[in-house]
Amino acid sequence: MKAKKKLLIALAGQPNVGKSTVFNILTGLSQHVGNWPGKTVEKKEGIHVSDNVEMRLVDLPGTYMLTAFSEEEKVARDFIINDCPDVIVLIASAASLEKNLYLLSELLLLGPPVIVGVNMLDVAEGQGIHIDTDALMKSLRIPVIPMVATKNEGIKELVSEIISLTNGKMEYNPPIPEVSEDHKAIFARLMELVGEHISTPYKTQWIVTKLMEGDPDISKMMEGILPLDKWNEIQRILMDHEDSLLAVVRGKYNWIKDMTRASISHFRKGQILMTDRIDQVLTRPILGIPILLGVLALIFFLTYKIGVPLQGGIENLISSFAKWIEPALYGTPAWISGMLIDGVIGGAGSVLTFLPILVIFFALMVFLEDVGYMARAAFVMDRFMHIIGLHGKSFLPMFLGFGCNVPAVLGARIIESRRARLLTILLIPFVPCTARLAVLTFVASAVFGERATIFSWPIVATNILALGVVGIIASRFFLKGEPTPFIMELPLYHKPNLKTIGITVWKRTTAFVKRAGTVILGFSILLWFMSNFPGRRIEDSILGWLGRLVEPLGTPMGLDWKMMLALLSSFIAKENSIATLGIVYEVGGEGLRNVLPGVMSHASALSFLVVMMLFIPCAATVVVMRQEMGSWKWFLFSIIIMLLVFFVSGIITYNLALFLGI
Amino acid sequence: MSEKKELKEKDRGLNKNLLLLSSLREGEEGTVYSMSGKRGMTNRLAAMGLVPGTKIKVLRNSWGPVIVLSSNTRVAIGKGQACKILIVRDQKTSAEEK
Repeated sequence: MKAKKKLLIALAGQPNVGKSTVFNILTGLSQHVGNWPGKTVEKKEGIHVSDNVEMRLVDLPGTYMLTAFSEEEKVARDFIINDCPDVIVLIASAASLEKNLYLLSELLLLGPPVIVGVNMLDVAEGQGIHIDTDALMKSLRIPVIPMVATKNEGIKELVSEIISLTNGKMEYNPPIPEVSEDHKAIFARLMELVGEHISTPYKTQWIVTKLMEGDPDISKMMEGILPLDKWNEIQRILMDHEDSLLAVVRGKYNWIKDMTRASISHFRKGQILMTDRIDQVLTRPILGIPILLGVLALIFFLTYKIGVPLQGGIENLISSFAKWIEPALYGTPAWISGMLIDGVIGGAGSVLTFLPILVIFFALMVFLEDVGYMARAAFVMDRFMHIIGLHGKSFLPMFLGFGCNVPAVLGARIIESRRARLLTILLIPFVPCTARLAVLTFVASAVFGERATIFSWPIVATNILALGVVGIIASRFFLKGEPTPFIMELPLYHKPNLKTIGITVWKRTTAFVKRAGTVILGFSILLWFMSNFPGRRIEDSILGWLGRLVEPLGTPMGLDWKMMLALLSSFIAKENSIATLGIVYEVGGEGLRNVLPGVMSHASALSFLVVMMLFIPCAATVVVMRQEMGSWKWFLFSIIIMLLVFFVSGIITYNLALFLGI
Repeated sequence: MSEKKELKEKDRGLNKNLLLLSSLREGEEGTVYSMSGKRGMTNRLAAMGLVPGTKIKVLRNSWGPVIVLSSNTRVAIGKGQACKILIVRDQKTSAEEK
């Protein structure tokens, strides 16, 4: 048997070109999602096997270009330079081909052969744009594949083109973009200066282009490599020609114009597109903001309407599973069965029961993202986000935070500047997640009965207010600096692609279970030990001792040691606080719902809820916060801020409630 | 260098159609004349299709970022950055609104 030929394929493309659709078709569920080593950028790869060829596909982050100004672009270009893929597949959108070829102009300079997949031909036709892919192939002199990935068209051709290109049966010698005419002399001089000092994997032409663009990383690298006199001359040339970046850009666009002259034709001009019609409504502030609020409300309505019954079902399943397994544990020491049933099953259970709500919330969010609405939400929120020193893009991860803070913190990766990303992560824990909202709903309805809503809404509003105040203060005094400008493409609206949505939801959910699940499970077991040792009753345990230790802190907030314990246990998973309340108030068969009104005064309950909503987020969130912030300093800073906020709000709420006689 | 700057100011004096992107009205069309600001931003805008010489149309310019349409790409640009882009407004569209 012949050994399989192995290929390394990089999938590149600007955002909104249907790249992930192509990646999903090619790799299906063989995908593996991880991190680029040492970076907070997601790395997706997968395997595609065809005709004895095994292709390892690496999905590069969707970027407009390959500069050093964002982490994602650096990751993409470093991968191409250092790992030297056999083929780069560039997915381009037929609806905005010129702009897409900008990325191609960067890729061609790097060396590995490129295949262009011109995707979304159907969308382009619908807008009166016709792309002649044969003509494009003739001028680019690289393989060009016409594609409609959503209908599976062009995928096979793409794969066979990859194989024949790597067989070396094809001539590959594309014209490469040059700088604009007025800067050719400088370019030649720079080539001379650096030429002999460049070694593989770098290409001289690419290095010179990047120097002219003012790329900070390459400039630094060259400063280290070149002899001082040469470096000084380069610096002098670049200083004298401040517009060399524009010369590079103009050169690229001249090249793009040449390449596309024969292949793009517009056959229906002046029509108003569906996207623009929808945007007439959605981006108009007077309508856009109420619509956004409506969408938010609808998401919560659907999440709870469908999610809560499912959650109840899973809860029942888990408790019957625990009952079913109990007899099997007879004869084992009490602490083993206790740990297994209350620690392991209980811990895993709290993750599982949370899943339906999370999956539905994720699905709705991914749906909105896929059809193109999320960029409009960011646009509409931009003005508000400026108040807290951020811009519209930060709204997207925060929005996700209403579902779960863990993916929200991870989602902050879309923000380019480190300052804005830190600030966003700092603020996300103030967004009330579904777990906290569930505790709020439960306790409020138990204690306040019919008046629960009157008390719940102001509590949620308090969270948003705290987010605002912390944001204003942190952005003015701690994370100062000029905010990076808001620049965001508003993609064309399109029909949702169920496969893409399905795979994204699946990936996010499994990532959540992996990350949050293990942390929650570990802490649940720890909590079980702490509440059962050294004495079996909670009062005699480490946890009871801890509760009484922190009780003095609870007094000004109107919380006794039992409530403080419930608060502390919410660190493992927010919904744990309900279970803990059940244990410490020894409710037994009576039901927590009936016991709570008797043991919690209204003022204490109110204070407890405010504090619970603002307390340190769950362990899983804290872990990813530390990881994504990449700095102990800011991590500790955010923990201190949260402790301060929760403590002060607790005292204010309790005393205000007493004063008002609630 | 300074000569160029002078030229720009003269241009602005002569041509009342040379405007900041942020001061164009919705529906107006024009051509990008120049961009200032950080290199990273110029590069980013270029990669999104906005370079000196590109034809643009302002789709939205009210409360919030400006939405610009160029070669079938819609880009939202914050007001701050929109103040750093100079546009030569088309006679046609500016005449229409009069």
